[in-house]
Amino acid sequence: MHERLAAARTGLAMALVYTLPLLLWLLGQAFQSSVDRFDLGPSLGGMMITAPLLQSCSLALCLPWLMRFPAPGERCCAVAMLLLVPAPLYAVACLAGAASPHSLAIALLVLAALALVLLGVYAACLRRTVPGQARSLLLLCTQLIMVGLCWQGRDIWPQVLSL
Amino acid sequence: MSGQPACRLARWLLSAALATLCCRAAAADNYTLSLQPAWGGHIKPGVPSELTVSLLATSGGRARLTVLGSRAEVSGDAVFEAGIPLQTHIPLVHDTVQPVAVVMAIDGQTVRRETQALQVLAAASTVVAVVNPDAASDWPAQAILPEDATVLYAASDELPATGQAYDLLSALFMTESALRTMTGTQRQALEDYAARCGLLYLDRITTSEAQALRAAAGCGGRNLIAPSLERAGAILPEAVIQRTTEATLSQLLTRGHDPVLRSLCVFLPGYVIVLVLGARSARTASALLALPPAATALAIVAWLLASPRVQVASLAEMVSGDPAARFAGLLQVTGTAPREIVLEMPVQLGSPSAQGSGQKTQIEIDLAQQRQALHVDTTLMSRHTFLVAGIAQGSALTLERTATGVNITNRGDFPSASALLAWRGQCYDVPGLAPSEQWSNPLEGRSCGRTPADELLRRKATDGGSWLLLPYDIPDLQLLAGENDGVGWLLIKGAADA
Repeated sequence: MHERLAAARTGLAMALVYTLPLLLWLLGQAFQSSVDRFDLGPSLGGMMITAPLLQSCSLALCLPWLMRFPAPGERCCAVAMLLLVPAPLYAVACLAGAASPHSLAIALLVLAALALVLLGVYAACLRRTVPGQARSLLLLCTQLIMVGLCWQGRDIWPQVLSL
Repeated sequence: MSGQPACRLARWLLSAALATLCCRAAAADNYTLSLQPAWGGHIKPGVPSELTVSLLATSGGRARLTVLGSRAEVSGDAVFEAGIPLQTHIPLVHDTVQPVAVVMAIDGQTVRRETQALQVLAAASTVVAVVNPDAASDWPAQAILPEDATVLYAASDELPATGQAYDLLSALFMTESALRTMTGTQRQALEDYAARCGLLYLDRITTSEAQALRAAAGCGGRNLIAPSLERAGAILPEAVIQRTTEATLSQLLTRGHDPVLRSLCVFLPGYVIVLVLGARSARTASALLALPPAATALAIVAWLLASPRVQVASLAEMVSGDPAARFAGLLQVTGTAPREIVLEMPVQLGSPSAQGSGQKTQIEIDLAQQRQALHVDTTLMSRHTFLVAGIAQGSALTLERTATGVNITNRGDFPSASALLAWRGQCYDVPGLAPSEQWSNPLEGRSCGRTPADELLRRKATDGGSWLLLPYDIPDLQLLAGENDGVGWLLIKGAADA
């Protein structure tokens, strides 16, 4: 039990790293003048596009670290915390009309599936077949490719989310 | 033999289908819908105009008319009788050259759709209308108009039925004969235009009628010019009325707490603190995992239960002694959750003009012009702003410049509110005055303060004249606002300064 709690705490710490700037940005927007606040909806839309991107990056970057947790339950706790911490931002986006609950649910499911696939690939293949240093290098390359793909696809996210 | 019933059935089905098609075609032909925009379809971006919809049907009924393509989707129900033409005037605020469409629907089915092209003029252009141009050929219009003025010609029966539709014009030229052929609503709209200090040239009008019109006009009647009273001078475009802008009105809005801002400022930092504390004190992983969903649910419930904020600010202006004051009002709706708000608005406030872009609004109007309802779709942190304008009763306070100073008199039957006087670059506090009481020759002034009202007065007083500022509510507008969320002011320009 304590191991899972520790994993969740670590997931929380990781999530706060990318959630705090978004929270501060949101507060900054709320203090904007009336004219600027008028355009908050589209800006929030932009933020929501950034949020899955950041989450993807975070998931990718923390996968080696997640593998430090030996039990699948611990890994799940950490990933769940990583996904749940920005939930109030999703609520703000939905209530502000910048994103629909449907599109957010799809985004979260895609992220969760992505995390599971990566963990599975890592656990099933790389860990057994590739030697230690090469494994780390391969994982790092995979992460960089993923981050690049997420960044390149930032213009496609709106269409994907609006489906 | 078995083919016969099948053949009969097919024939029956075919004839039924044909009959339905014929009925639909006949039904579609039963209605004649025609559109007539004010001023020949000339508009300025964001300036209210008017669309006259004429409907003729061979059978009576009720139809829903909807204007699409303008800033707000305006709709209303029309009740018509067989063979009797129905004419209705729909307010219109448009920005682009894209045509507007009027859709006529009966029981949810569209039976007619007509489009109307519009010509967009530059916002700063000078637009002058001449009514019944044949009769107005002796106007000195060319002599007093700027070279780049746009001159529109209109027949008297095409004149608008709402005062707001005159906002397009810098000046209107007409004769008494045109005045006499106008309908009651057209005459009322013209008087509204004059009451709002609209520039009106009236030729061939009797002295008595000119004097009567001038007495009811705004700005002391100085913008109503009739050769029978005096000869017009070169007064355009100086006499064009400066409209109160959204920025000016926004500054007057009450600055109290913003429900959304306050909740965000409390919730978001609080959420982070709870997460950090929860991470330290949680005994199980599930307790920690439950924190974000619980906080989110709490926030959603709080925002859904919170009421949207409706604020109004108005500024009326008049010259001392005027019977009417022209006002501009701002209505601002700050949302807390996705919901539709319906604001019942008296037609005296005119058609609300939506400000900003990308936020569609619906206006439901009673086509008998008795009431209108504004449908606003809010979301969290959404801010919808609307401008309204109209005429209000003038104040009983008079402000006159005398040889030795200024003289303020309460000519009404009720005590006046305390006011602020700007004169010789300084501000003076004017106490509330009892009926017939006078206040004159202030001894000591002070620098105008930093409040929005003081700032407004200071800007006005830069012309060296005397201005009086006092609280003044537009009742129809104030009713829309929440408690302590409405503010209204009246600016009175000194008589001698005018």
